[in-house]
Amino acid sequence: MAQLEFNDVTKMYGDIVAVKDISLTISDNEFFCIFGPPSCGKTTLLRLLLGLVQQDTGSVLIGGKDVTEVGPQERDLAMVFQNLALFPHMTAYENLAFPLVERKVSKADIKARIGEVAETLHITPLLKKIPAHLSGGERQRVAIGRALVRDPAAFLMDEPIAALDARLREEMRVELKRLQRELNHTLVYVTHDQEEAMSIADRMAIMEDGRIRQVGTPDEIYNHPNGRYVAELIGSPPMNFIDGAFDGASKRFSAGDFEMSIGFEGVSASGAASIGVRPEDFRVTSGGGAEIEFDANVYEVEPLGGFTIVDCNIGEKVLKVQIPGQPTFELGQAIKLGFDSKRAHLFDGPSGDVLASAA
Amino acid sequence: MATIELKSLTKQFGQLLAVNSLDLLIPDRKFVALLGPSGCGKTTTMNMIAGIESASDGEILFDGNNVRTLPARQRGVGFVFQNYAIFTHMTVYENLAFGLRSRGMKGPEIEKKVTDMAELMRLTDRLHWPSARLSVNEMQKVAIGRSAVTEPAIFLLDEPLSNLDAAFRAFMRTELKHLQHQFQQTMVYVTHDQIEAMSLADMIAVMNLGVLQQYGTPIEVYNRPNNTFVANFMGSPSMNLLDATIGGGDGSTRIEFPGGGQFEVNDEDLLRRCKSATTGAIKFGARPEDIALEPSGHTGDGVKAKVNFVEPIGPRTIVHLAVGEEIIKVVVPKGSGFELGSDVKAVFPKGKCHIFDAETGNAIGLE
Repeated sequence: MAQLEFNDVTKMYGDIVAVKDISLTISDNEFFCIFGPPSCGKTTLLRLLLGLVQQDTGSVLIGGKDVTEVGPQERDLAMVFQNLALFPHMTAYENLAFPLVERKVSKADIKARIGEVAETLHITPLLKKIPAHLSGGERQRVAIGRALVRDPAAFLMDEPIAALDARLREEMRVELKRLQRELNHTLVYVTHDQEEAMSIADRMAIMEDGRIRQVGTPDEIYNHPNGRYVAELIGSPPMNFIDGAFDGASKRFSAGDFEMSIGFEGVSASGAASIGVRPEDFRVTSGGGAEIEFDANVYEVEPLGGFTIVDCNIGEKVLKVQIPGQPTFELGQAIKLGFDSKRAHLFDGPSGDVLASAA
Repeated sequence: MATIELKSLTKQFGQLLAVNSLDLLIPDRKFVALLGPSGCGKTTTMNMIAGIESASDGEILFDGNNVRTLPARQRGVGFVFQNYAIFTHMTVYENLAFGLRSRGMKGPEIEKKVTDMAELMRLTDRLHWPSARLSVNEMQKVAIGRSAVTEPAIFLLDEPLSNLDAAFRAFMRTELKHLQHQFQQTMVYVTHDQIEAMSLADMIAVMNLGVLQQYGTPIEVYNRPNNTFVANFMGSPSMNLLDATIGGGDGSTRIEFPGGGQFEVNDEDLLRRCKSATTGAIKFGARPEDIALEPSGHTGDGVKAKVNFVEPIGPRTIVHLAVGEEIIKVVVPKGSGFELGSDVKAVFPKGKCHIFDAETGNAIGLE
């Protein structure tokens, strides 16, 4: 139950920047996700919180208190790693009891606490088993339980469910969210799975090369990415980009023989730019009905059951269009694609910064 | 080109029956996915087709010829693994040319094939790079291109996309499918990812514990699952499967849910089948995208529920509903607002509800 803060934190490993100029406040009782590609610095942020590494400059605060001089044991944080570090020779009960025994909690208190946590995690029937006799999901719950028994200031989790299969991951992420609500604790969660982050975070930070590119609610990040980097990383299939040039005076966008009038309000600058449209914001029209329309050809069709991804050719370019249901198309079929300008994003060519965001 | 036929194909590792009497016809020029969770036997099946693993029993026919005892290199199959196997000390060009050279092909012909493949895989500007400098994504493209360029009649791929990031996976799915449409090989693709299988394959073979569960087009497997295993495995989020009873009273034509709510069955034949197949206990299946969320007073067939959890995952939002002790997931378009704790009615879609025998899990019908 604590607010966590980074103030202008930088950490280098030799010449390599691990994290740079990080200022971030994670609120009390917040489920906060740190998302980014491999080696973007997300795990380093956790290690800085834990005190496993020391920042070069800046400060880290836990519950309002600067912890620069505080050792890892005294920081009162509980960590769950991706590789569930359970003791293989101990039962689930003994694994759960371990951190409490270490802290010299009485036997009766340990029993009561484990009983409570086991109920919350639905692992009561498993307590007498050793890890080798548990499934992956069950082991993960025990590992999480071992963090929960302690009632720490905050929980830190580093890709705790990444090694589980898809179906179990879907279940576990809901479970984790429910747990965090019930326990009312701050939870910092590192993941490289954008759907997982979107699904469970109250707020999330998107990182690139040791820096934070955007912080916001999943809804803000998805609908109003502040740059092309974030727009490309969040959403699957990813946002479509059409690279070209925008003329702020005439409000025309052109990309080779592909040209359109598109009224991005408040953008008066001209120059190299990209239009971004999410796959689900395109429509296959029968001509008319959409603000902006153009001709395309069907390149490939991916029927996914609940929805269908139609890959469409416009010249050399392939756009991904996601439509509900199970429509059928012929390969090469000529279709009309449409979208509304209020569902489009405009990004600056050189910097990738957002110039105009979807409504 | 090549038709692959597996007849009673079996693989036993000690006590473990990894593949249990598998019959499968993979037609010429088709893209077939072997799909299932880990341990289902999909990779073992592929390894037996490739000749890397010997079969314990059964037959493997390529165009009618039994190849079961033929060594791997004489079977003429191309193979791509999860871990891209390329020569890192060679350039991209040399990697792509390698298989052609070892088949005795000469200069101009190699050049044409390599540059064509590079263009198809969008590697043209990387052709003369040392492979070690490529990104993981590009290495996998080279690995696929290197196998595809020799134009094997049969192309086997074992989870080739699973180490790649999400955006690139989505891109490569399309490119692989396009590649197959161009070269018209018979492709067999092993995956545990149902989205990949759905999007790529002409036919999907769903496996579990060494046994084939269903073989059909993606849409058949998705729309008409044979049993609750397939119903649950295909689709994300998975199909909702609720406990229910059918034909409570003698003349009843209703499916009833333990927590209240009902679903009227009009198909008398289906009703008869249900009554003869089961003791009345069934599993009622409905896909998350087919269920309608209505105000709690709605009179449609369905169950009353409470909004328990809302997951916005970008293009779609998953709404979790508490129905008694069970949870139903419903998919709605992005931006639809549902408040936690609010009362709603989950209305089930006529014609798209699945009825399974509660005991065996086998499908009885669709209503």
